[in-house]
Amino acid sequence: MGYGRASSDEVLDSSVVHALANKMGLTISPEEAEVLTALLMNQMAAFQSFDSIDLQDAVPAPIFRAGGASDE
Amino acid sequence: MSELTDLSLSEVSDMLDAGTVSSLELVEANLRAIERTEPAVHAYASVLAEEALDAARAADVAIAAGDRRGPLHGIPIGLKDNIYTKGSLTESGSKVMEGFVPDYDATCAGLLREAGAIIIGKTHCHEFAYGVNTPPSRSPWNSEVYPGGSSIGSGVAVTSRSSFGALGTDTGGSIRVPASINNLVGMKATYGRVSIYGVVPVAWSLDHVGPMTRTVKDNALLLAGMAGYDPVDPTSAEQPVPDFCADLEAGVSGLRIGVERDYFFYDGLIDEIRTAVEDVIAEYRAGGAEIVEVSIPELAITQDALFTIVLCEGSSYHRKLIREHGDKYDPATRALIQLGELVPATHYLAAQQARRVYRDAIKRAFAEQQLDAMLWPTMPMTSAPLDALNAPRADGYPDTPVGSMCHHTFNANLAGLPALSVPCGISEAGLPFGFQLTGRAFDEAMVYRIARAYEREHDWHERKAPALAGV
Repeated sequence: MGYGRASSDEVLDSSVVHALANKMGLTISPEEAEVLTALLMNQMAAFQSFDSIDLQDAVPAPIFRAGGASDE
Repeated sequence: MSELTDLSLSEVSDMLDAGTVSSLELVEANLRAIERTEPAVHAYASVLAEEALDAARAADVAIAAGDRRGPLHGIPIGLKDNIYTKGSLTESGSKVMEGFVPDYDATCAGLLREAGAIIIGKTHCHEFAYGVNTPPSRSPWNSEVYPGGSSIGSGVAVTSRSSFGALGTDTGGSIRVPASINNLVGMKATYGRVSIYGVVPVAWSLDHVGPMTRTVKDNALLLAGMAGYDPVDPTSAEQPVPDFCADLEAGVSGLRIGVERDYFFYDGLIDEIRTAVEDVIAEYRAGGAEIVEVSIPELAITQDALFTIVLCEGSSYHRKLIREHGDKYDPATRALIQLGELVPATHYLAAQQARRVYRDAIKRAFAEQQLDAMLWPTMPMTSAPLDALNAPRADGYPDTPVGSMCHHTFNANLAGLPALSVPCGISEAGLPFGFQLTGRAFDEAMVYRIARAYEREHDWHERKAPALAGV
């Protein structure tokens, strides 16, 4: 495992992430918030990548059951 | 190095049957190997020497009385340190779990003990198997390069000949990647084939536990010892466990093997591996298999789908721990766990939708082309220097080594299909690599059969790291 995507340009103010994370009970520093913001922007890019295929009628995969996604 | 430790698991198992070696001799040989190699490779988080010696003595008594339970009885193996073992440390590579001693065995560990296997030690892993911190394990193939993860210690232990086999866990490639890097056979079986009860989760819907060995037969024997329905694991499948070795020598004549090129043979695949895997394909064709070109464009979204699912499911598991022990996590692991809490539920569900689309696409390819397996490289590159994992790739391809290493492995976790890494070469720089076979759900036996057809014509599995020669 490894989170390998290169950092994207930061377009979200890290102070927003800092405030939100701390409100959620995740105790982080402003410096950690900057890292988290960069990672979050990567995740936003990942979400947009799903637009490359048609998901409109796809029902989420059957995951937490015997055989899981193999569905056999 | 003792010659005994150069033998495969199945070879020493046959010797136990024949009475030409004792379990005590095997454990002692492994302990000597540990003593010699550990100062350099650091495969083990803890070594269970006394317990292993006691178990070996008991195994020898039983075997002498004609009560050998099966091919694993009396064989020492290693277990990744995120697998619960009753009465012994299980720290999952994290200070958060420092000193934790489970009061029960993970189902896979318990089944292997029942089969008579002897747990000689717990092997290092990345913190909670996330793969972003730096465990102490080093590869005997090259101490400067990454030995693969997150089952890092299991790979290093088996390739260092300090264990006849080991268990790893695999959420996105963590068995197959270190297997490829360490010249080993590594199996991620069908989701549900092996219970994940008692294994510290990364992401419940993607997690697998499986064997890492030097040979295909060893791998099949270990999988047989741990597979089967587990009523306490809701993800466990009620599927019969076949004899994975029954058709091991049946060859590939008449089989249909799919090859997908757009995704797996992309520009990021280095030439040495491309050439070697093309040779593997040619050998299968020469052996009577029909090679079928397939197209699965949906592979393009597997990496993003897997990361999104890992982030969300992983953070769910750590929700309480990260708040109570946040300072004990490695900063890189902590950042990913915190990130998962900030990902919207719509992203998670979109990833599961994407997973459905991909799973349907690969199932369709198997069905329409009547495939017995599909084949591609395990990794698009050999391992990279430890200090350059997040730097641009040295060959100029626009990615990092970390970004590339699991490019070829995520898809099998998403689909839940069995996937096996098999050694098929050593680069000019002396770094091993392998190819990967993906099979139909619950048809691990076919995957092993196809793998064995290649293995018996080559000696990759017999090669060991040059650094071990004088140890």
